[in-house]
Amino acid sequence: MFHPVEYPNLQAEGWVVRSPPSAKYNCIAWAVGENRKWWWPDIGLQYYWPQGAVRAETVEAFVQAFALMGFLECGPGYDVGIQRIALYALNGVPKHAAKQIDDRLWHSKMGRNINIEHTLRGLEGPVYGQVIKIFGKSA
Amino acid sequence: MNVMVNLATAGSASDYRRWDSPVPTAGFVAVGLAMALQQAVGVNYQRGVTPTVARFRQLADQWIAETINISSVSDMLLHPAYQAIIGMGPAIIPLLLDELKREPNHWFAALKAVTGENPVSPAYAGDVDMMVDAWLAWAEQRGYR
Repeated sequence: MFHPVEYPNLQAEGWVVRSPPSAKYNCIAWAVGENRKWWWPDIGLQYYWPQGAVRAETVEAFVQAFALMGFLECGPGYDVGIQRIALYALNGVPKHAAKQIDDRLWHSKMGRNINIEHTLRGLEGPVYGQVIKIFGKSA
Repeated sequence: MNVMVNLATAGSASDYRRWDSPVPTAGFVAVGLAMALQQAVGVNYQRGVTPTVARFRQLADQWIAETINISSVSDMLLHPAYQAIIGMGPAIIPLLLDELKREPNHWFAALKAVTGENPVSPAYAGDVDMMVDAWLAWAEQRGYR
């Protein structure tokens, strides 16, 4: 049930399915190395969000959450020994995160859907918006 | 109200060619009676599904399909189909619990909204397995299972 047409850049850039759908964890969890919880700063307090990070759907809240997990803002690129996360936002509101595999490919959990490998640009578009920040931490 | 009638069995094939007939055929009379009966008692006899169940299934399927790639909880919960499900009120509590048992998904906010309760401990926030268990235990305590 994955429709790449919703991600126009994927058609040109390519993508590969890496794992089956799961409603148990999302892209944010996956990006920071977790696959047992759904991470989101919801105001209903139903979902996991690191204690100490602002619970709001703002870029700053995600910056704080990633920092608590050891990921600090950094530049683009690829360095052996550095784990990078890309944060996508639509109209300034965070929507998605992906983690870097190598100098070309990134790995994403697509909501409750599958995991895919893709280029950073591949998921930019009307659903997730644009990459607005890159974070990194020593592996 | 969602009314489903099997015209192929309720009326003869020739009935389809008689829409302009000034005199209703026996088949159309039967269909009309069946529809009136369904509307009166709120039951779809063809499938044994009530309009509430049919409406819930339609909305749930729409929500599942249209939010499957979304991580944002607010985007999931503010989806029109999810809000419409909440708007169906307490009548859908058993349906949400059945759905949760059938295939764990993010029905927690809807359950919280229509029950006014939240049995999930803050320690299990985001742990979907534990959230499902908490709601199914709540259901058992309240006699829903």
